Amino acid sequence: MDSNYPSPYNTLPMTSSIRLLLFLILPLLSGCQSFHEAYRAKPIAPLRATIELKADDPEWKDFTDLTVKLDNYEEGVHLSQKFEGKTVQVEGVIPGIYTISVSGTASSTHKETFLLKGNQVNYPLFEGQERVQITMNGLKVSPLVFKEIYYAGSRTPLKAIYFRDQYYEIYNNSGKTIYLDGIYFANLHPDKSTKKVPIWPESDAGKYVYARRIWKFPGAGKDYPLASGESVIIAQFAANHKLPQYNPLSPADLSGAEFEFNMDNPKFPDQPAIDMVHVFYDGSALKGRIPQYLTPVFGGAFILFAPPENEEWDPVSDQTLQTPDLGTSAKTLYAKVPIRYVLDAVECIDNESMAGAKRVAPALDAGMTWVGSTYNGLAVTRKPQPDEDGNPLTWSTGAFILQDTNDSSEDFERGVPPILRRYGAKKPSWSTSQTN
Amino acid sequence: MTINRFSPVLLVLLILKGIPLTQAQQRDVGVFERIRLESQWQHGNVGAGMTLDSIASFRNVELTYEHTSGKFRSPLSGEKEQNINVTAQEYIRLKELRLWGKFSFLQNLTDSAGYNASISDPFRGMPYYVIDPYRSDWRKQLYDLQFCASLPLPNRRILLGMRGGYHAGLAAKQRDPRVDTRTFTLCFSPSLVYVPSSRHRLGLGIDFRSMKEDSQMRQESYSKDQEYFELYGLGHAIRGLGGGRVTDYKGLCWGLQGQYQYDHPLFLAQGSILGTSGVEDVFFSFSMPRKDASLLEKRVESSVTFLSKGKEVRHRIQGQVGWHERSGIQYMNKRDASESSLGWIRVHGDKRSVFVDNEYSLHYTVYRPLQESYRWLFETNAGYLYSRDTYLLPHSAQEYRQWMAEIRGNHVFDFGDRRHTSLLAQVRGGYIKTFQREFVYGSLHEDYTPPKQLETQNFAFLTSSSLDGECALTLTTDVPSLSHTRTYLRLLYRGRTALRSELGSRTTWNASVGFLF
Repeated sequence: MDSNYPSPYNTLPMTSSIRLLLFLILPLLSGCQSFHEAYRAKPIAPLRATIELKADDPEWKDFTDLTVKLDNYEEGVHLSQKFEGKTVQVEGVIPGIYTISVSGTASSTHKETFLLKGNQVNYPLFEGQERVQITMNGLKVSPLVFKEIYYAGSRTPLKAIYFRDQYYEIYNNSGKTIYLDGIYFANLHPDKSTKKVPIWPESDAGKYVYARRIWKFPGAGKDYPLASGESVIIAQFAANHKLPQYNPLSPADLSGAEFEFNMDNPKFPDQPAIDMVHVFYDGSALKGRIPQYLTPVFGGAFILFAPPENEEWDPVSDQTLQTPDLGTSAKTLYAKVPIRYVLDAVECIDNESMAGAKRVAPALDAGMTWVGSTYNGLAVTRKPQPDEDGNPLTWSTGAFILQDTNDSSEDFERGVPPILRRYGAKKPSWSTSQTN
Repeated sequence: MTINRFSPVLLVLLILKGIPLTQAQQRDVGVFERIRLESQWQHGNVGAGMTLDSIASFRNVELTYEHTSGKFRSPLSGEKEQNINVTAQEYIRLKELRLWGKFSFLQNLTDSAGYNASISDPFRGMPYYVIDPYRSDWRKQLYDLQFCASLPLPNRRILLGMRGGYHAGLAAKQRDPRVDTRTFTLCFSPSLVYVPSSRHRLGLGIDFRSMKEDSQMRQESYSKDQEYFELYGLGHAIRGLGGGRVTDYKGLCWGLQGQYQYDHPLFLAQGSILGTSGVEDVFFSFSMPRKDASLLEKRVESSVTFLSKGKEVRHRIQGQVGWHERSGIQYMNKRDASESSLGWIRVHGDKRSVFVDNEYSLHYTVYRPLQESYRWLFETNAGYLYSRDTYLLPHSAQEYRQWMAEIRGNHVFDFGDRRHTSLLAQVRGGYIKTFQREFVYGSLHEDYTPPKQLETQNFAFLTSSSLDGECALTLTTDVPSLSHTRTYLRLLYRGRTALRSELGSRTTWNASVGFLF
């Protein structure tokens, strides 16, 4: 590997003769290196890539259904292969920069199921570098998932932009009733997909994700049950956005949303929906100067999480749970959320051209999803899990089991018109919503 | 980098004020044809031998307007194109020194050109550029300055020379994503000729060329993100959305040239060879440059010429061979986010594409010399072209073979008046036939329609058999108020039509007015 930052664009003042001399000499010097690199290049040939797994957690037994995927999103190369064991070789790989993902399942002696994911993002495969080691992380299968996310906003009849109709549908994907009380919702940093990933403290050692703003469901513990197959809607602003004073072309009537991100904005007054509890923003519990909770219309990264019962977690009081982005001079503080707290994570990006700009830990979400452009009134929605015959899997109650492989590239349908409670999801019994 | 914008008018005045000619001439524009046919050194690669050519001093200033339109064109060309060109050139003899210089300014207006969304000249053989699906107008300004100097040493056995040039261009695309691109090329070729005897002349020279083009795309209107495609050759592309990218092209080319001439009292025989190798690098972004690709170019051109020295009729036969190979190298870059060296690390490069063009041609000219021009001229040319472009993985290929034939005839009519008025009539006809073609499109992005359309349409154009014809009339006469000055007016029509009628035809009208001193 060599680094090369040609920087002949010097801003020091120069006489015109020195400038002319540099104009003649600099091309010669950089040209020698260019000639050397160009003549050294050999014709491209396909490789045999070897992928080795590092999966050392003693709880994991019985590795099954392992699949390795090699994706070069820029060039459109996608390879996939099933295997057993901890090593696999893939033939016919065109050299390039790949995102290499391995997924499978393991079960523990306590009969818990772990979804195993491992990922190497932007890994160059070329002659002389054909081996790659993937560290596998496991996540217990979560009962609570993001079912649908509508973030892109819409256009008004006069073609202006409109973003007040964002919403998030949270679904109970398990066969048991769970309680929403105290479950956290957060959007992660960076807000928008970018190849300039942040720099976090080395001591964090990949154990955290970093939240920009955190909310949580209210309740004392059992106030908000969510039965199997039920879902709740959290709206940025819980109104019917199709009304003339908002945007008749909006696809979302959120007047029946159960929860709302109330930012005390007099122009968008508090609606009957239950307010989410604001937990964290820029190092404090205050909501900040700007009275709106707008997540990026290009696509943000979102998590649902819950600390274990016996653990305290307070990023406002505990400053060791706060950090700025060390890659910039900005002083904004982000909250550290341990990866093992996360119940579900979804990473949304602008479009497939940003597929190489992975910013969420692959153990949480190995892929990404998108709607393709901004203000197009489209959403992403989780797919039903199919059985062997392609029919949706359901619980005995008839509730759909949604696909949750911790890979939103596979788990989500992209660019669909938003529909509240798709696939017949039900409202919780305590919901006062008059609409669907 | 700033461009010194020459004022064509100022340059014309400077030339008019220049050194007076040594003799009166009743020349016409046929003099340039004679220079092309007989001045092997001035028109060749080794400029040091210009002293050996028999060229009388001249000056020429010309203003041209050209209009081209028609359906039979490359998809990268405009539906309509207009050029306004001002050219001034001069050849002077200063005792032993021979000097030639030429300046040209071209203003180009291209309407409704397709695809190209980044570089000034998409036909210059660079496969790495950006396209979009929309037709757009382009506005271009091109400045071209060339010179050649030749000076014999006192022993008259060695001649030293230098040929050079500076070209600058500005181009702007008129539709989102907007493009502002600037091109600079500097070339110079020092050379020497060894004259061991009155018959033999051996010339050697070095060729050097440095070029730079920086292309900046941006979006003016943010109501809609524009789609664009970064091309990597033969339709392989990466899609983008929004304001596009900033691309920096930097090229360097070295070459060696050789020329040998045998001067017999009855004929001139000459052979020449030029070999060059160049690399042009493509960088993405200025703030944090990432070397995306390189184009490695190798070229060999050779020719053999025979010219008889008859007083009544002269014959000229020339054979030319050209071999041209370009290799496209693409690099893998990894982002280094560490605080100490933030930027891109280039980890590997592979040769991903190869473009080969081989050309062979034969030219025969017979003419009757008259003073510095000619009375009549007849020429026939035949050529063969083999072209093969290959993208190695995933495989795409374009290959075709063509032969071409052309005949032309010129005649100068003297009116015999006091102002020595003459009329040069020119007629030319040509035929291009493609007799083998292969097109394999292997891009993995099947849904990327614009790159596929571009490759398909461009291949259809390049491999179309066609007929073309041209006729021109040039009226030359003395300028009464200025001695040693002649003026001319030329009208030209050129048409080309594809043999497949659905591809249409294309016509060019050209009007020029000039002065000869």
